[in-house]
Amino acid sequence: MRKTRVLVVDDSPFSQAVIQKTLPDSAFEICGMASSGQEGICKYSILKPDVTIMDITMPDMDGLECSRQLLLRDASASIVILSSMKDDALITKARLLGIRWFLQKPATRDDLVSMIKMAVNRVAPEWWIPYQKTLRASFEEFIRNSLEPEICTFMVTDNSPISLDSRGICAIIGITGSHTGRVILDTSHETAAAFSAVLLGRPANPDDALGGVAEMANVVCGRGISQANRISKGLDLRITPAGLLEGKKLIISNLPNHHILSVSADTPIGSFLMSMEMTED
Amino acid sequence: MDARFINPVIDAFREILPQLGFSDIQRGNIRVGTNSVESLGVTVIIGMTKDIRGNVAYNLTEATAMTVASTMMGGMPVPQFDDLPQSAISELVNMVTANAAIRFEQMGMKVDISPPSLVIGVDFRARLLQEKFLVIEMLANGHLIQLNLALESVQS
Repeated sequence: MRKTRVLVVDDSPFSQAVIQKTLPDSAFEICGMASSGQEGICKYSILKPDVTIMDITMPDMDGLECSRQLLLRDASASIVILSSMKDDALITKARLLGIRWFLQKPATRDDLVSMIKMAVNRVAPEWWIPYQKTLRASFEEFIRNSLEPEICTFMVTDNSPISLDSRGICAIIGITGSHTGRVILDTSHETAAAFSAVLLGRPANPDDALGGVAEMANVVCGRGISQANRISKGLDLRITPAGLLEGKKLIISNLPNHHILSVSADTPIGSFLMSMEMTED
Repeated sequence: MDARFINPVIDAFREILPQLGFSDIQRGNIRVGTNSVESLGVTVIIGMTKDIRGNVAYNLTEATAMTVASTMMGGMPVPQFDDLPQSAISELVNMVTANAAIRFEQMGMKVDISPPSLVIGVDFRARLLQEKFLVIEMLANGHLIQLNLALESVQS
């Protein structure tokens, strides 16, 4: 896969070094560093990066002016503002320029990587990051609280195939409101039965297994989404009741033109997958 | 399950399907289903919230799904049930359910619908909000599309 080419416009050599160290070499190539706005504009024209990481405070012009000039030359430029300052006035000014990707220093690797990906793919980030974080946290918390937490591991993937090949049982919860989408929780019959037995404190029959997955989906989505609504102003999401599917073979097609992120959990009783799909804007 | 929910869904089907190229729309049996919806091969689940909550599962065979998709695309051959016909069936479900939602709203019940989830597979079943649900058989140019309604009013 081709690496994402990144231009860094930041007057601080220290910041430049931190960004370089933060971005994984496997997926990103720093194609240029600029220490001033003017240098940033020159290097952008020559290097044509996939994304520009822009500081706000620079000696010759601020990052917003530099961004404005970049966007005049290339309206499709993807710019992530990475600054120690982040207030409503700055965010509003950036939005007026059409920049919606804003991070405060110091940024974690996860946040910087996902913000760059969203900028490149033109995905609205204001609600998506807290949305997927709270849902992930809710999923991890539910599993950790139910099972031996130290042996559970979680992995996030954002390169999902075009459909989800179920392991046998899945719950689909629809999301409506200011954005629409769905959450799918998927596992095998055996893992669902073992999980329900843990929740119930007795052996689980097939109905209990389905009930356990439905309960997990309802609790994870209910808690995660109400938390996301609290964090992001204007986000007004609701969940529909779960549709439960089970069978020998079932394949769920991805929703077209939706942002997708999956989290898998490996636990002592088997693995679970949570897939989150939401409209991008 | 409230009997008031039946006619808006049937009327929505009767209004939308002719727009997609089906001239003959018939209603088949209506019965109460229990426990789960046994998939005919292609099952599309769509959720509802606000004044009515629950889910509707549209159920049809893969052969019917391909024929329906082909009709929707002006008779274009559909040799296999891949992305394009799948997206056509999802769109049909979305249009019918959204039309039903407008009809519910005209009855004073606001409804939001989720995106439809299209599922294909072998020997699988779906459980909906309620153990007992309504099964409405609709025929579009003779092809069976089964609508399974598990809806409840939040107001009552």
